[in-house]
Amino acid sequence: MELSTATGSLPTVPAATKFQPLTLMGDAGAACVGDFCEIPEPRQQAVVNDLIDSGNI
Amino acid sequence: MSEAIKVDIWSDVQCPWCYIGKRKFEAAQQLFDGEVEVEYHSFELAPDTPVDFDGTPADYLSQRKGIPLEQVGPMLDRVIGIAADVGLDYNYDDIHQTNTVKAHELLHFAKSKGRQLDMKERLLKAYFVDGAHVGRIEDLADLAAEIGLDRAEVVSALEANTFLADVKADVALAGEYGIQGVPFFVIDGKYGISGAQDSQTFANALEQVRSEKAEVQ
Repeated sequence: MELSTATGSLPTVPAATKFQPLTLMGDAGAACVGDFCEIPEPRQQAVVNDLIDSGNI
Repeated sequence: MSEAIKVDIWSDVQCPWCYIGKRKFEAAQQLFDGEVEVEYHSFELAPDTPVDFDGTPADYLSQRKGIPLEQVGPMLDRVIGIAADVGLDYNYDDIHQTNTVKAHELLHFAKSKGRQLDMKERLLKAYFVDGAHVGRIEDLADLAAEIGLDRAEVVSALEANTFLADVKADVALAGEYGIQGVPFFVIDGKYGISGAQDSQTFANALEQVRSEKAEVQ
């Protein structure tokens, strides 16, 4: 589960409606999404991708 | 004297990267020689988790995400190693996976007393290092009392859901910002940093905000 994170182009978070969009800074940083808190190593990512593709997640 | 830079941090108590990110941000504050005002906001990663979940975090990941237990172990080992790099001794053998809404209510209670940062640190350490339960009111009250908050007042507030609306407001605010994962840092209401990034990244962002503020003065 890779996270979308900012690169040098400083994209903005588009979903904000009430506030001005945030300008994202920095590179990829590990975070918890849903109840899942790990960015797997590439080998593990492949396993996770297979699980996602199979619909078992 | 320059104005403090406001940093709003969305975080959950049982998010391993949130504690790591906290340490990295604190290191950034050391790199940055200006004044920073930090406020933590609630983010519930798994609001449907039972308070007394019967199993380990590995069981939880396996059951919830369908990830084989043999894969979960190395993943946890990796985060334990990164935590150690920032001086945190994660103890996954004793962690109590739970629902964190009451912990978030406690953080808002502590904020009302001017003690949110101390409470945040105590809750994260309780969960990841001490093996304490951070979902039950009585356990949370004990932790609050440890930092000097009134235990009986905490129990009363948590039983009455006094700060539940504040928790939900934080979660809603995260949605307004488009925040999907934590830790998430909002600096001066303009810049967002997602995840437990390098300390220098946080320090650079603080420096940029300071420069921009100086330009408009």
